[in-house]
Parts: sequence; C-alpha cells; structure tokens
Amino acid sequence: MGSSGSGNFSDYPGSMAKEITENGIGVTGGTSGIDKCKQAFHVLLDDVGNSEFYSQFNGVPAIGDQLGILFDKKRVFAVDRNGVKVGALPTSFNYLVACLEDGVNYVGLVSSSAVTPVPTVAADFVPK
Amino acid sequence: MTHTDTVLVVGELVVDYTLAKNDATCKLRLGGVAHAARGLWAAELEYSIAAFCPRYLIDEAKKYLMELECKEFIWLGEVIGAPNVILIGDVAEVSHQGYEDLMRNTKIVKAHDTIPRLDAYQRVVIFPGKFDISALICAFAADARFSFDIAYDLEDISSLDAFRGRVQALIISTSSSLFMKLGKDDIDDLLDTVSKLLPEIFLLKENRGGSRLYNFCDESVIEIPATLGHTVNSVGVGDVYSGVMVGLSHKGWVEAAWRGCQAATVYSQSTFPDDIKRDIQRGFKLSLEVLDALGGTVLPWHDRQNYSIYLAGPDFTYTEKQELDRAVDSLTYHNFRVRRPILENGELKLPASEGDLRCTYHMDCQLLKECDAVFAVPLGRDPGTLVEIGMAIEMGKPVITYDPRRENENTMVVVGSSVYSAALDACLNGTFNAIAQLRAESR
Repeated sequence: MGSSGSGNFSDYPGSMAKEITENGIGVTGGTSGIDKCKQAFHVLLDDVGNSEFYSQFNGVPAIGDQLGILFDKKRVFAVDRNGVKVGALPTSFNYLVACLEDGVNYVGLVSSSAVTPVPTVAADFVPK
Repeated sequence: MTHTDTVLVVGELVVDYTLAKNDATCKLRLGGVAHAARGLWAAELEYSIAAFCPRYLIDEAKKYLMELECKEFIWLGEVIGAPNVILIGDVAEVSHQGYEDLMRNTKIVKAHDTIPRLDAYQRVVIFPGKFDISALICAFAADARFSFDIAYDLEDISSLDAFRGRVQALIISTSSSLFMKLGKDDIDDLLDTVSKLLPEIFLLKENRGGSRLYNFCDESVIEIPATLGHTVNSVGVGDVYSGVMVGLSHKGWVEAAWRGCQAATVYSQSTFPDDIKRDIQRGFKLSLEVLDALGGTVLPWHDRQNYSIYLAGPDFTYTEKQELDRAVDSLTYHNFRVRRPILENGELKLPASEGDLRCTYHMDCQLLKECDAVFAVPLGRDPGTLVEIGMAIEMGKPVITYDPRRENENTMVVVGSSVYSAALDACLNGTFNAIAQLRAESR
C-alpha cells in the first residue's frame, strides 16, 4: 500500500486516505485506514510434525478446532485451547509479535489438517 | 536557546517523483532530508531541519515539515539552475533505483552569503548534497558532534577532514557509488578510510542483507538482521535508518541501530505517515532481546560471492527473455554470484549434434551440482528449466522460481520451490533468505 498522486504533497499526517480520479490516479492522505494487526489472515503452519501437540496426541487438530496465537519469546506459535503448541507460524508472520505486545489478540479455526503424508495444519485467524 | 536533545538534520530538500509503472501509481513526495524528518517524527524524536532548496519550495516545505512537528526550519541557501526534482524508476530497488536528478548538470547550490547560525544544536546529522559541507563548519557550535550519511553526493571522504575528531557516526549503503568505489571488494579498505575521521561508529547498510555496525571504541562488530517484506517504496529508507539511529544514540549505538533498522523497515512498507508512525511505535515496544530472538535475514555484501546461484532458464540469444535479464541484473546488483550455464557452457546450434547435446548436458549437470542454490525463470514452460528445477529439488538445493508470466502454476513447481512467485521483489527476498540460511548453517 502507498499514497500516490502528483498534484501536490498530500501525505500530511492526520488526513484519511482519499482516492484521486482526476488529474492523476492514486490514493492520498496520511493514513490508509488499514491496520495489518487488525486484519484476518490464513496460515499454513510450519513444523507440525515436531510440535508438542503431535508428540502428545500423535495427531493433528480436527477441522473446526479453535486455536490461539502465542509468542514464546523465540517464535510465534499456533496453540490449542490448552496452550499446547500445534505448529509455528512462518517468519513472515513475525509482525504479529508487535501486534500482541500492543494488545491485539487472535482466535483461529483449523481450516484443513492431515496426518499423512506429512502432518499439516492450516488455519484462519481473526483479531478479537 | 540550546537544543540539547534535538537532532539537526542538514541537507537538501528535493521533490521525489516516482514514475507510474506496471500496477504502481505515480507518487509525489517531499524528499531529500524530508525522509529523515518523517522517520524522526514517527519515532517521536525532536528534530530541526537546515536545508538548501529552490526558493519555490520553501513555503510548501515549511508547511509540510511543521505538520511533522519540525522544531525549526533553517533555509541555508538557494538551488538554482535545476528544479531539484528527482525521478525514481524502481521504488522496490530490486535493481538500480534509476534516480534521475533533473537538470543536474546545470544545478548550482548557493549558500547564503552569511550562513545562518546553527550553534544551538549539539547533535547534527548531515546528508551531503551538491553543497560545500566544510563551508558550514563555522556555523556550528564548537562542541557539536556530527554524523554523516555518505551514501550519496560525496566523491571523496577526505572532503570531511575538517570534521575529524568530531564525528560520531559515518553511515554508508551498499547502494552507494562511494561504497562501490571504496568497499565493494574488501571491507577493510573502507574501514581504514573511514577510521581516519575518528568516528565512534561506522554503519554499513546492506540493503536486504541487513547491516553491520562497527564500533571503533570497543572494536566490536554487530550484525543487525533485515526483516524482509513486500517493499512499497524504498526511497528514503536509508535516511530514516540514519536519522532515527542518530536521534537515539543516547541509548547506546547498538540499540540505536536496531531501532533505526526497525524504523527503516516500516518506512519501506508504506508511504502513509500515520501508518508508519503507528507501526514504528508498536515495534519500539519490543525489547532488543525479543528482536534478537525473532532474528531476520543476515547476508553481508561481501559473503554473497561465496555462494553460487545456478540460473535455470531459457537464456538463449534467440529467446524473448526480458524478465530473465531483469532478474540477472537484480541478482548481480545485489552482488550475488550468478552462474549462467548457457553463457558458460555455450549455446548449442540448432539442430545440435548428439555429441554436442551429450557434452552440454553433462557440463550443465556438473555446474548445477557445484551451485548452492537455483534461481529459475521458466519462461515459456521451457522443458530444460523444469527438469533443472526437479533435479535441484531432489539434490536438496533451495530453488527460487520466478514465474513472471504465471505459466507454471503447477503443484510440483510451486510446492517444490522454496519460493515461487510472479513478483521479482518476492523472489529476491527469497534468494536473500535462502542464501542467508546456507550461511547460517555453515557457521
């Protein structure tokens, strides 16, 4: 995302994003109105086969099971209702650590899972 | 009045104009030292601006900077003979940014006959331009300390000799022509040169490969990782890094550099100032321990040549392959060692003899085995490229597949590749990550 346009300096703080359709195309303003922390996301978890959940239950959560997000001071994990780690989030989701620190929490549902041929879990998360 | 905590940012103010390209719209911003100003404002640090700019820009610049809570605007002199407008070709800096300083050959920067007093500031960060830096020295306080971002518009470090012993930080980027002249092959030569100014620290910003902080006081070297994401606009990102780092130097250079790096990362991912401020402030809530644990991409410029990247693609003279050529430019610009089998082993005649085919096959296979990673551009679903992707996956080598025409959205290609994307920006990030991973495993 980025503000754009060419008629004048338009990226003043405090102004909302506004679409320009005349004399150039784009979006101007100080804020986009979009906050990545407050957006839903879909994720395919890493290291499910090495997770606490897989070790304890020799399986993966079922479709529809509820998940949460946990940062253990090293990596960001998806956890089940009891806080058991189901899998790690790819590092591209490390921005969530700042969101969590800022008080945003997430709840998710398993959207697909499989034990074979490799343990796999995908989930959809929304901020709550 | 003395501004003990306020950073004075010195340089030129320009107009940055990003050309509309592909799906990106045009972009007009106050540039030059305004980038550092945005970063300092977003980091909630006090600052003032002392700048050279054309007369027509003064009112707009003042108005804009006051909105960014600039404490004081000092006009140092006039720019004549040029509009101080810079056209920008590549905002993501996947390759050369293609900066065009309009009418640069006729541009003259003329300081006022009496240089305004700058002696209320103890901490000064200077971004060189087409002005005489040493002519300003008499305007500063005797106890002022200086930091220089020497990425642009400085041909020779000796032009800063007048500041010797008063330098806090020297900062350069691998994108800089001065770096290419002094340090592209050997960091020690560059360190020797900068050390003559007796700075406390030297920061080398290495684009997507992170940065290195050299502390001359305790002789330490710290690697600060890059956090790679989708680049919206890379213009001014380095200036934000420098400005915020100097602004936070009272917290110690290590923390200051980490925070500068955080601010720069956010600045690269949006051009909406309120969004930038919100995200920088969020990031600043994280401790250095957390940032260190999260890590990122560390791939110093000088280590990149230690890893060979096999270019898989229809790199033939008779093929339309502008995307492949752009990818090679990009990888070369970032100092990767690209091995091009068709260039190295020769392009076969059509039709080729069985003997030539066999010989070339074995030479290409050998080269593939020797390489550490594969960058594939399977234009036109080139069968040779797809076979090479498969072989590399089986060999356990990281494969970055750049599919700009989206012709290969196939399970084996997409999942088998470490990174698969139609965007060169994402594939470049993937290459940095893959090689950084190899480097980390070898240490």
